[in-house]
Amino acid sequence: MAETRDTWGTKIGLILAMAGNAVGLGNFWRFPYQAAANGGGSFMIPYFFALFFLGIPLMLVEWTQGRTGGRYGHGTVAPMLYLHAREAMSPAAAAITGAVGGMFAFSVMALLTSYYSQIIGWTLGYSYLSLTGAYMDKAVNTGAFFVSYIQNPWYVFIFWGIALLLMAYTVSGGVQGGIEKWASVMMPILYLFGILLAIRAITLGAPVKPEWSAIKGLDYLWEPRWSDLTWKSALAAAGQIFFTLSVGMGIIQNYASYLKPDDDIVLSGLATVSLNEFAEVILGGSIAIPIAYAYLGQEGVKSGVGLSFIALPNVFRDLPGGQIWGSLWFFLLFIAGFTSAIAMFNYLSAMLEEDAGINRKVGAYIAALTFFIIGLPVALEPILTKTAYLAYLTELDNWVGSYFLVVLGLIEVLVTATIWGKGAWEEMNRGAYVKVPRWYFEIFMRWVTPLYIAVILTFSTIDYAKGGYFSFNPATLAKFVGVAEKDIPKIGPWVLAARIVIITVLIIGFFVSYSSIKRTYGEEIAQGKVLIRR
Amino acid sequence: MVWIGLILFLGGIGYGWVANNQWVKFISAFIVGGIGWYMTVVALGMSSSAATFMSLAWAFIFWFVDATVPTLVNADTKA
Repeated sequence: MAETRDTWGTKIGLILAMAGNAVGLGNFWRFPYQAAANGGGSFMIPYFFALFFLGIPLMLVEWTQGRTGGRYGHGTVAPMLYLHAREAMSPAAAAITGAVGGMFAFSVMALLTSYYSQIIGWTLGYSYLSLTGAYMDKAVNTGAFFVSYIQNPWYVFIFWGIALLLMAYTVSGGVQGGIEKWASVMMPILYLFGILLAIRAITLGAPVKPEWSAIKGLDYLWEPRWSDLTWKSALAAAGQIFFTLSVGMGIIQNYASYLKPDDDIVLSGLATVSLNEFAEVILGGSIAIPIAYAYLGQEGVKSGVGLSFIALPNVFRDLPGGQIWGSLWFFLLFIAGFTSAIAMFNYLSAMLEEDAGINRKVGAYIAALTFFIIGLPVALEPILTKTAYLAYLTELDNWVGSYFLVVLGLIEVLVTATIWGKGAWEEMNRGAYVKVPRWYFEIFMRWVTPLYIAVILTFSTIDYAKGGYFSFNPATLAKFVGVAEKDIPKIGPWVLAARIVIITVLIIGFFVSYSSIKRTYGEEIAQGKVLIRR
Repeated sequence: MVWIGLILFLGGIGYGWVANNQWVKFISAFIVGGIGWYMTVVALGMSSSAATFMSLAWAFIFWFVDATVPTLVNADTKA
C-alpha cells in the first residue's frame, strides 16, 4: 500500500495545503471575539506563551507522527500512534494506546465536520445574500435575519449541500490533483481578500461617532490590561491555539502522511504555524474588531459568537459598497472553513481507502454522505423546534471542539515525546534544514508541553464538573448550553441525543481504530515483538 | 509620519522575505518592520502601550513568515 500512496507535488503546494488545513473559521471568526472577551492585549501574552510551548511542539509532534505513518502506508492516527508507542512499550499496550488516540481522532473528525460543514454552508449562504442585498434594508433586524436563515430549510440544505459536494469533489481528485491544486488557488485568494478587508477596516476612520473609530478598535484589542490576565484568559488562549492550529484533531498527521520519507518536517511545520499566525493575528485581528468598533462601539466588539453573522451585517449596510464587502467577508470565511474541512474529509477518505479498500473517488462521496447524516440533527433542530439555541451543535462543540482536542493532544505528545524520547527527536530531525535543539526537545516537548496540557485538561474538567456537565439529566444539560427554563422540555432531548451520538461515535471509533492496527500488526501484537520495520 | 512608518514597515518585511541571511531577515523584518509599524499606528492615533504590543506581535509574525516560507519556496526552485 505504501508504494501506491499519493504524495505532495511541491513544497509550496504542501505548505499552502497545510496552511489551509490550519487556517479556518477559528482565525477570522473565533480569534477576534476570544481576544476581545479575554482582555485584548492581556490575552495575547498567554496566547504567545501557548503558541511557543504548546502549539509549536504539538505541531512538530504531529508532523513527525504523520511522516512515520505515511512511510508504513497509514493516513490515520491509530496506527501512527501505535508505531511510535511500540518503540517504548509492548505491542499489545501500544495497540491499546493507539486505539484510544484513534478513537478521539475519529470522533473529532466525524462530529466536528458534522457541524463545521454547516457553518461553512452559512458563510456561503451569507456571501450570496450579502451580494443580493437581502439584509441591507435597515428595517431588517440582523439577529432575526440570522434566526430566519437557520430555520429556513431551503437556505440551510442548499448551501450546506453545495459545500459538502464541493468538498467531496476536491478530495476525490486526490492529494496532488485535488487538495494541493485547490489549496494553491484558494489560499492566495484568502490572503488577498484578508489583506483587502484589513486595509479597508483600518482606514475606516470614525464614520459614526468621533469616539468610535477603527484605530480605537485596535487599541481595545492590543491594550495590555494586566488586571484582566487571569487563569480563565490563559485557558482561553491555550484553547484558541489548539483550535487555530488544528492540532489534536489528527488532520495534520493525515496531510503529513503524504510526505516523502526524508522530507523536512521541522521547517515545514514552522512555516505552517507562521502562515496560520499571519492569517489569525495580522488579518483576523484587523478586520472584525476595527469594523465593529467603528460602527457599533465597544459593546459591538463584545457581541461574541454573533460578531460575524449578526453584528457585522449591521455594519456592511452602512459601509459604502457594503454588499461587496459583506460578500467578500463571508466568502473569506467560506474559503477558510472549506480548506480546513477538506482535511477532515480526507481523513475519512483515507480511512475508507486503507481499511475498507474503497476507491478514493467513491470514498470522498461516502464521506460527504456520512457527514450529512451525522450533521442532520444540527440542521434540523432550529427548523423543527423553531428556536435558535443550536443546543445540539453547542453540546457537540463543548466536547469535541473544546475537550477532545486537548485529550488527544496530551496522548500524542506523551507517546511521541515523553515516552519514546530520544528516538522521536532523531526521527523529527531526519532531513531537516533547521534541527530542533536537543535541549528544547528534552525540556519543553518532553515535559513542559505535556504538563501544560495536563493543567489545561484538569481545569477544564473541574469547570465541566462544577457546571454539572457530567450529568445525564436533559434539563441540567440544556441549562449548560444556555437554554431558557421554558424551552427545556423542547430542547433537552436534542442535547441528550447529542450526548448519545458522541458516546456512540467514541465506541465505534475505538473498535475501528483497534481493528485498523490489528489488521497490519496483529502478528506482532500476538508475538509481543516488533516484526515490521520500514 | 504615517507614510515614513509604512515605507519602513513594507520595506522591512519585503526585504526580510528576499534576504538570504537569517540575521538580515531578523533585523529587516523584526526590527525595521516593527519600528515602521509602530510609527504608523501611533501616527494614526493608537496609544503607545497598545502600539508597542501590536508592533512586537506583528514584527514577530512577519519575521517568522520571512524566516520560514521563502526557504521552502527556494528549496522547491532548487529541486
